[in-house]
Amino acid sequence: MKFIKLVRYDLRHGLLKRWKWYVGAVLMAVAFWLLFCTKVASYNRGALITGDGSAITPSFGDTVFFVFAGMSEYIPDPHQSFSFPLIWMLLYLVLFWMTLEYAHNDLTKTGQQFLIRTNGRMLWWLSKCVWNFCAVLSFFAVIWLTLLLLCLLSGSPISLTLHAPLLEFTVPAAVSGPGYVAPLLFSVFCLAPLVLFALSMLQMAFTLWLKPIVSFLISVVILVASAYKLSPLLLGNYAMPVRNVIYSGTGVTNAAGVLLSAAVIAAAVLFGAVRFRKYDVLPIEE
Amino acid sequence: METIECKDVTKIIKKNKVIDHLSLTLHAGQIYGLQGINGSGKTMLMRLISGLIYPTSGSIFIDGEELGKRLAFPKSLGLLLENPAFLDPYTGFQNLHQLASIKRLVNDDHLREVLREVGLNPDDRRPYRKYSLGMKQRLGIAAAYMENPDLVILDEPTNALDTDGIELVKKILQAQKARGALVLISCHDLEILRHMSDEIFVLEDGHVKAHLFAPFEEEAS
Repeated sequence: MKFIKLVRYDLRHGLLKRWKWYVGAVLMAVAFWLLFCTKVASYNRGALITGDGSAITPSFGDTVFFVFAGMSEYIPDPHQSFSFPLIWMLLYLVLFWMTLEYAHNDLTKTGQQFLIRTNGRMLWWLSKCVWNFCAVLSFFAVIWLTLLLLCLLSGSPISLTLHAPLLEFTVPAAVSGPGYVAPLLFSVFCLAPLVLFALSMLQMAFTLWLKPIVSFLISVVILVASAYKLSPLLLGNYAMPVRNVIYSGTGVTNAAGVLLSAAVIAAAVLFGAVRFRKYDVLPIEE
Repeated sequence: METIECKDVTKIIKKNKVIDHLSLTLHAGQIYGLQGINGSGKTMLMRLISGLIYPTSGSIFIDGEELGKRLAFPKSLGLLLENPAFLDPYTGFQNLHQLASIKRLVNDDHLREVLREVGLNPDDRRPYRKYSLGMKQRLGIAAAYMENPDLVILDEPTNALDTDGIELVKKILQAQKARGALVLISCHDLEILRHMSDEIFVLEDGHVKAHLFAPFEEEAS
């Protein structure tokens, strides 16, 4: 019962009372959708996509794929500088920032009172893990729902069909055939939230050793490194559907992504729990 | 809870020895005062006894059970450490209700009564963020003893309180003592502590410099 109360407290104060973050997520989704619409309109106008002059109406699946796509593999080339996948980075940096300080701040404020009343440290830590999962999932859900609403309002088909030619122009990379859509959708709707939960848990666990801002910087480094190098060991790669082997032919696999994410989540929960058992609860300035 | 025993406790934080080979024993039904200048180790000792931090060496036993081993926190603890921290958008009553909902040891009527005892109106609709410093302190004291804990720890409870408020704290402490609680308070003002405590530990550089008994004849610790 105490655990349920702690979780309820965290969900109320760590999510519901921090609704402004979700307004930010909605605004970001709107901005990305507008960008996508501009690109689609531009390519349709010039008949660049189909070549035969007929326009493509993007589906909900296309829209979501565009926002979460990431970037294709960067191969270092003196004639081509590395450019960040801005939409992808911005989206996840906001998520990391959103989940950065709640647990740490709670512990130095009201959370102390809850902590001493639970008579155990594990419940507090596990409650924060549940909160973290819910925060990541709700962030994705808000983005998905906003895009769904925008597609509905704009008359886009509410289907998960991916239009390869459209994606080829908006997210440059090799494109798979229509028969391989399901793994890509898994990558967008399941693997990306799982990867981000793993990284967010890692960040939260690091705040038990390091200052929150340093933990955040580590998350940034992981994202940048993942964007720069296609490697199965850099977790961020699995959150980029265009680096999925189904999409690019040489990328990462969903199975490896699930396994690595699960391992990172388990390690973060476990090491965080071990660390928190002996953690000194001190004011921030200490 | 009957006794708290600190045995040769040392705490090092970032290479600073904040508590230095400190030993003391506290018994239920007594009011203990901690006195010392800033940085003498009062708050750190309170954090140690409350289980928020654990000793680097030495041990703290609550009725024979070691903190940080079999026991994460004292089983029945009310705590006010430094500045009270509550949920800003909630009223005083809502904040106490939220905290009390964890253990469910007391009902809403009792919480209202406690708020009246500390001089706050339980029907005050103002959110906590609009409370004055004195009101925040009173709410912090209320949260510490509202569940009638066996151990009440109050760090500088008289901060931001006027003379009436200080008298109120004294009255509350006596009531806690009367029901058998062990009360541990800190204050940098020795005179205030003399009025409130049965025994006083004077701390300096993380260890007990003097142990005073009511009527406070000094003896070697």
